[in-house]
Amino acid sequence: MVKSKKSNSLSAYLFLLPYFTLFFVFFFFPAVTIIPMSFTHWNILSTPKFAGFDNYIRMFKDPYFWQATFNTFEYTILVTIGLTTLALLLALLLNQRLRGRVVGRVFVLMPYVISSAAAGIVWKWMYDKNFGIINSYLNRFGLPTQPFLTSTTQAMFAVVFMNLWWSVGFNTIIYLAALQGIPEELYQAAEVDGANSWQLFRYITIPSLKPITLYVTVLCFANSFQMFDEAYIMTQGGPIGSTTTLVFRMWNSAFSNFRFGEAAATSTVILLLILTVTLLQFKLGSQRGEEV
Amino acid sequence: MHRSRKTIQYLVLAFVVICYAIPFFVILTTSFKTSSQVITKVFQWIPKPITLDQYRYVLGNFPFDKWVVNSVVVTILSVLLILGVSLPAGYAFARLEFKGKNLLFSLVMLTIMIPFAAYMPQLYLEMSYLKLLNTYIGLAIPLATSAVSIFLFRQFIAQLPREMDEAALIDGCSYFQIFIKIILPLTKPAVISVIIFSAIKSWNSMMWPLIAATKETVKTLPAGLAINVFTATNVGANPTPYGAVMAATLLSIAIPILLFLFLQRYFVQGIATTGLK
Repeated sequence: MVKSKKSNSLSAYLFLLPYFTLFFVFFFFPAVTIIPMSFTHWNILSTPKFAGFDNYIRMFKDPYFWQATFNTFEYTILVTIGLTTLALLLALLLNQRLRGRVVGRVFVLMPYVISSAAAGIVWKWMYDKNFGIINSYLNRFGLPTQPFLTSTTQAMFAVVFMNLWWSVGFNTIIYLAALQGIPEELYQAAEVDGANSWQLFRYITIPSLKPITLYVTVLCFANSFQMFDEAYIMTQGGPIGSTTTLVFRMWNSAFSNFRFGEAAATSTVILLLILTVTLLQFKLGSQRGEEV
Repeated sequence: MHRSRKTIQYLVLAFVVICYAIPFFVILTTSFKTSSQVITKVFQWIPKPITLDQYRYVLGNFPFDKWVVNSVVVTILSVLLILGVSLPAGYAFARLEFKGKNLLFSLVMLTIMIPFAAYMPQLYLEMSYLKLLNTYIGLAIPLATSAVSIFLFRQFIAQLPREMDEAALIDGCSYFQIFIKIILPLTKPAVISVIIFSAIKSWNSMMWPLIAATKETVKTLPAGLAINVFTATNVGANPTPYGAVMAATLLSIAIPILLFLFLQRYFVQGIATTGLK
């Protein structure tokens, strides 16, 4: 018995070896050393110089850093709420016994398989101030031309809206699978008791979807917090920093200005923020789970 | 009453389909317009005349075929790498008992919580030091450290019945033999869903290739498009270059869209599997 357990351990480590080699070299090492790196000045050509808290002090004094932090949260919250709500509504629709719902499913999921670069550029074209399809129709209905991506107040919402088109399909399918997993008997029993369709939705559908909603929101949050591609393609972080997120700022520090210490400081902030938020989400989620 | 409700549902469904289809139609129609047709105040749905000039321009001026080949190579490589490291790891976490199991699993969790951007500058320097920038494997590796597929495999293997591997163990099979002969053939649905997701993720990945694939020899499609083609839309270029840009976009999405339409059922099943935890 003891012997079999021991050999079990050895083979387990062999099974884990390939993954953990990659893990330690290409994830754990850079993730841990990014913190000391944030206390240096480093432009890759020279050797790193110790800088104390200089990167952090400068960052916290920079209004653009606070704007990027605000933008990141604004974007993340809008996308998470928008995607979760829209996905649930679409799933409810596609769960009805309608002819052509497969077509609906195909079209809602199709944007998800194209790259963020492709999705971003087609929306950039549709949002175009002079010749884009959206302004073409606004004008036709007598409405004024909107600047969309070239406006500091509209750009962020325009990027969020594009994301609703691009990535809602994934969450819709998850919700659809969850809806189909709710036992039919629950609904039948409630109908026998005289429940109307709103009550069925409120007291059976919504509670049954709770765990999946937690999963979907955590996933949306983690993904949208890292938004970069859309900003890179559609706005380059502008106009005047209005779509610059923390990730975009990190990118600019490192790969446009070659200030790796500064980039590492932003990375560290990203790391701390997302760890805090994830832990909070799980805590809230598990508390709510216990109440039900 | 019941009938009017159905009618409304059909109308909403039609509206949704149209909304989601419009951007695709815009790509298609713009790519067949001449440059002067692109810049009309009133949007034309059907180009008149239909021209292939934009495609000629894109294919003649950019190494499009090379980008596609690079994207295919990196995608295949990263899918194989992901399967190669996560299947055995998922099996170990699902079936074997060993010292430090919880600690190792918590470490794996970190890759899901910690975003790529949080260690990217350091990874870049490390890859540069290891001479892995501008190599196929250097593009594939960052996709393989994420443990999402390990989770999926662990979950999937844990719910398989244990009788068979126990019987095999008594017959003197090693864990390796059990893994290859018994477990692997049963994991097909999970493997399909991991292949689909890793392939989409890899094909569409842009942030890392933008800096790790700067040489034309390894540049992937999203990086090539973003750096060489789409930048024309950033400056106040006149006439607006969207004809060529949409032609390039259509060429870049053709493969994933076709695969999706043919394998639609597997995509849907794959996503559904990831959600059912």
